[in-house]
Amino acid sequence: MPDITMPKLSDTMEEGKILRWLKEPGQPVEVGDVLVEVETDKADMEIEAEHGGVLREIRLREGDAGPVGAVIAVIDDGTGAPVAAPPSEVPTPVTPVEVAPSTPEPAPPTSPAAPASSAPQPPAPRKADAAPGSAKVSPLARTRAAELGMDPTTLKGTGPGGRVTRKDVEEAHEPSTPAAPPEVAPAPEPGQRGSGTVTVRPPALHPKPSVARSPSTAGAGDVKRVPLTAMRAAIARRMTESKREAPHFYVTTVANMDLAVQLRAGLKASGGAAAAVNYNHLILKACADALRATPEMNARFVGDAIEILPDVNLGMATAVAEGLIVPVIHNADQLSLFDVAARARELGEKAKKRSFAGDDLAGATFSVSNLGMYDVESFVAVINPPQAGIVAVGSVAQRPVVRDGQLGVGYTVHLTVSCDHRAVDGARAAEFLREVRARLENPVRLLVPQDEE
Amino acid sequence: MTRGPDRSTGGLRGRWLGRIGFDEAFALQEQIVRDHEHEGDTILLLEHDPVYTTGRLGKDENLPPLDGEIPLRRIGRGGDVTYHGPGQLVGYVLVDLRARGGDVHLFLRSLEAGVIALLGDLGVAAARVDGRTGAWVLKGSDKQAAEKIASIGIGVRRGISMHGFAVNVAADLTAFDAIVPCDLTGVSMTSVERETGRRAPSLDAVADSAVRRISEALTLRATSGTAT
Repeated sequence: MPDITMPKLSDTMEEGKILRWLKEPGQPVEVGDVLVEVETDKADMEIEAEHGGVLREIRLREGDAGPVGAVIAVIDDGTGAPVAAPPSEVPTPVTPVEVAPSTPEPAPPTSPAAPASSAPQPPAPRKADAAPGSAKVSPLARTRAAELGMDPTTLKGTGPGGRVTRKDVEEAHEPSTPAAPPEVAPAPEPGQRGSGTVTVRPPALHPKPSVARSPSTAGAGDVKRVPLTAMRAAIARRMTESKREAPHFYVTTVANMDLAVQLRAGLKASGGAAAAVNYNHLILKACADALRATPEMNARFVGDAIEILPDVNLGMATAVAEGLIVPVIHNADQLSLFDVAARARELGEKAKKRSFAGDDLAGATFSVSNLGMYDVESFVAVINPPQAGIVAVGSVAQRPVVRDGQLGVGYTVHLTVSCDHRAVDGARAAEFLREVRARLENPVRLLVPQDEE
Repeated sequence: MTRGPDRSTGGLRGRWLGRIGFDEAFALQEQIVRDHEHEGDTILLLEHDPVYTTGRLGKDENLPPLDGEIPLRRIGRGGDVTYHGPGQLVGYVLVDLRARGGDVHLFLRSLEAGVIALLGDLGVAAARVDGRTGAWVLKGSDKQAAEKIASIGIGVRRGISMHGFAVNVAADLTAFDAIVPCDLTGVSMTSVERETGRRAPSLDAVADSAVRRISEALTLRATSGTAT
């Protein structure tokens, strides 16, 4: 499978940034199709596909930078029949594939001389049925076989028309390492265990989906193992816990931001601390005040009760290089908009330096996740347990709006709250969003202390 | 320079469009890029109605307060937010990069060289600053204190370049105050008139000079590019 690498668009180019993928994994790609836009210096470049096939995997996400030559995506052009699952949303034809058995087979009894001192002979599950020399071999496989000192024509190919692929060569070279690691390979069904190969249906169509399947298990050469950092391990653990324990439901609203845009402009023009207020700060403050107005949302489910929490401590989901952290603005409803903005900025700076102190990361009762800076319209977030909810914020942008029966243009933002249904119900979530929206649409309320509202 | 199709200089066809809205000029760019085979290498010279533009990854915090008076367009060029408006000469350089060796950084440097030569014609000594694409007027020896007089940002579609440069000739620079141009915090903008202290020639006269200078820069660079 050809790798698509970060192109060298200039002699002086060292790295490029992915601006936009124009194809998604699973989509067919023809030679010459524009695949991706890459930014280098002050130039945006459209990059066209040099290979046709199916875009199998995207390795470098939009907004991320990579060095020249780094693999940014993989195209399946049929030269490397993937054993590992293609992305599950892509239906694949029900062609049986053959995989190496996970337990070594004993050497065939016809072996003339059993080896005495050396280790048992590795199985040769891929010995060609056809006469040696007749097998078709892909150029990559031929190169790889030469590197490994093997004769590729003796192997059984799994590529189109029985073509021997690079993967076949690599698997035959290391037969004790099955191509599909045990944890991702579906168990072969009883009765199908043959003498040398096992036939299974493609994993994507297997009735029991296996866990933690990575699309990059396609071949030993393609897999880059990234050991989990403590942060990634925590994300994996907590997000799994959240989705397993907390039945999520989602409610979305669209708030008109015309006045908020004006307010921000006015604040910006007035200079000082006011000028530092951005949309995220307005939304944080609106959420904090709305939680004060609908305290049932500021809660957690504890097994035999629902606890309504006295303080509104807002978690601020923040992307950092290694993942995600959620610093906390304590008592955000008690702070002025400007204090919320100052605290948010301070926490953002600390996040960059990873220098948190005291309870900067502790005690959040509710969270806000904002991807507006990535120009997304809307998304849904996973609750950070034991909190009962999280608001996902899209971009503030001009969109069509209907006012008094007239189609016009206005600034809007999509807000989607994810809630733990054990703690709150849909009507309450809708009330909360109504409170958030009311504040954003009349943002002067965000400047006025709660008591005087 | 007269309006509409004009003379060619070194294979580069210059067209002076006068004052034109961003969207209209963008549509024309797209059309020329699409029909590049027939249109040939083209440079559009124009003056925009006030507009802010930003690249696809331009940061929200650099954006202007959107009060609705000056529209914002997010477009497919490199770089962060900038402002275009009356008094600024905008050049859209629509050329086949592949035929010129395809080195995108070399192309950016060539545009820079052309713009700097143009500024020289106008009596302004501008310079490059490494790592900060554009043309700068140095203020003392500290390159970080330089003021920006021209911005450069391009997009490449199917091997054809789009967008290009914007030179502040007699531009009202206050519109830049509302943004963080090109994500360069603390950078001031300047203009030909501010630097020379006298009235600059009309934009269509400057446009003439621009076609010649950009054309030269692209040709020279292409030649030296093949020599190395």
